[in-house]
Amino acid sequence: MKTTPNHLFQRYGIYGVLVLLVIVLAIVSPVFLTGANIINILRQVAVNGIIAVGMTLVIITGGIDLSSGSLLALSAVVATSLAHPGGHGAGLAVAAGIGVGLAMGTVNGVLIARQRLPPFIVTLGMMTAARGLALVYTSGRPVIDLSEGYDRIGGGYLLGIPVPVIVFAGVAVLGGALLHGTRFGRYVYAIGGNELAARVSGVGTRGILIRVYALSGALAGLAGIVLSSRVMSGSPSTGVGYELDAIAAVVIGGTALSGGTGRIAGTIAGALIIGVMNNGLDLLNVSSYWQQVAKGVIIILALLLDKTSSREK
Amino acid sequence: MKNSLLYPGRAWRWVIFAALVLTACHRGDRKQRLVIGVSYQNLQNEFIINLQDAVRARARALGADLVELDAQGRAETQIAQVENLVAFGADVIILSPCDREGSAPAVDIARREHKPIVLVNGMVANTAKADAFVGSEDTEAGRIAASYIMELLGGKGDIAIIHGPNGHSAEVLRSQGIRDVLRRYPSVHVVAEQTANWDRAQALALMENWLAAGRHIDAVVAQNDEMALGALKAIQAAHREKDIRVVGIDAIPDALRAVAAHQLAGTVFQDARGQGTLAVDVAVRLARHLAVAHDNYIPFRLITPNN
Repeated sequence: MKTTPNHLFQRYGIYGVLVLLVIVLAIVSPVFLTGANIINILRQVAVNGIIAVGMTLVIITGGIDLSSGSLLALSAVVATSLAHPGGHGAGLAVAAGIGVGLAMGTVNGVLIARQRLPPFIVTLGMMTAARGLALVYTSGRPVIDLSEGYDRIGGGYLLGIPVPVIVFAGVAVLGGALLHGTRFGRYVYAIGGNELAARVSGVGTRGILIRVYALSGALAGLAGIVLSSRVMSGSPSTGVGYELDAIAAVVIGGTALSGGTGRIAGTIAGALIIGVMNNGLDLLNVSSYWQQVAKGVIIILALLLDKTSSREK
Repeated sequence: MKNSLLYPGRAWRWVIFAALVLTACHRGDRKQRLVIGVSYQNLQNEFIINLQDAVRARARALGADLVELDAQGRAETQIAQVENLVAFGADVIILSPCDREGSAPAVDIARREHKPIVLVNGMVANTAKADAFVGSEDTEAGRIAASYIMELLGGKGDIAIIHGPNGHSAEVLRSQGIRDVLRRYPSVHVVAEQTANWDRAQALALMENWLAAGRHIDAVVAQNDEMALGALKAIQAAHREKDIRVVGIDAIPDALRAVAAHQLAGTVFQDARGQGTLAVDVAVRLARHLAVAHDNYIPFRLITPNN
């Protein structure tokens, strides 16, 4: 691997954007860089970050997963419905929530890999159907009255670090190791680069694709558990549009929507940029109308800066 | 985006048509049963589901048949639904509007076709043209919540306001009610104000950020209970529940529990059952050509740990 300045910028430009954003916010807001606020940001990024790790793999294969927000809601209502006090304990709730996401993600994967249906349409259908199932399961009402044990997932600490942050870090590290350190990961890139070539050269592309969508579903399920335990209620209408935040994080992080390239670390940086921005705009008490404008502009600016800095040298 | 896949497709219209024909046949068998067509603004909203429960219970008690449609929050869908209800022979229509402006043409359609129409829960731009309105005044909810907080704070202090989605009619009117009250207290300062889109998770993150900013806040007025509960969660996590009071609006079950546990300072009860029941009563009277009042207000009620 060559390490020319050009290459370095291409690979690290987005981290520069993140650092720049942090420096600007640290200057304008005295509380931005406090430990409590940094913990805050990481906790708020966790849900989007967990979804975005799965989304990164999906997008590297050249696909897309629009069902994440709905699978998050379906997992949230299933998990919380099993987490009432005096019930089966949080373990079963967590397993069921992730299991539901995994199962629905596998359905996505099978339809895409075996029936050769376009991912956009398959996951769009799943987005609608899973949201519907969440509403059917709950009759449209949020699940409330949850056990103390369930509260500890979203509200607890381990060694002074909030549990959602630990879960997010674990997902990021494992996702990175899977993508960058295993044969499975190399095949994921191969499918996105040229699926036909990958298949001809003996890669079992169908199995890989199914597993990628299953993983994305399972991670959406995990995110649903984190979110619902953070707010201590399982609402069937939660998570609307979360897939778009995850896609934004992935693309800001340098993964091309056309597939074949991308890194987990970039996605994490992308998720952090979005989280830092949300936090910073709240700290500065920017009016909510302008917040929407600012968020859109910053996302596009981040992409532009990343692109020009990688072209200049 | 998801709705556009499903509505308004032709297939759906046929399903509705078939349902109405069946209801009509059913009606022919027995003695003249009244058919009430209802278009709900969004059956993914807990309050509207409670309203629906009351509508169903009352219709059953009065022996009227219901044809219920869910506009899923889209005014254009609602207009098509009212057209269908008119075309296929409902005797009277109950409309819980999605949108003040967007749902207004639905009232014109009913008017043109000489079908009585009752608005429930929300007003539209041409409310005067409808045969009746049943609901509560959202400005009043804002006034009640803000007055209660002023009472708790003794008329001075720093407050934060968490808004509903920008431009949503309840957001606009509740904000107006809150402002009407605050204007009378010059030593009260609104130190932070932001939308959390009725969403608990968004309000939680917002409150965490405000607390991290070190902003001094004595009380939070949230424009619905979901957001009040989100803010409360952040306040509890920061162990600040002793010095920051939170008030919400809607009186959803989770909020009532929090009020009973002295965690939430209070909430404002909007009577879904009262609205749904009265809407059916008014609709039935209209269908039988009996006189009704045009404006039927169901008062909001303040819920505190003491009541």
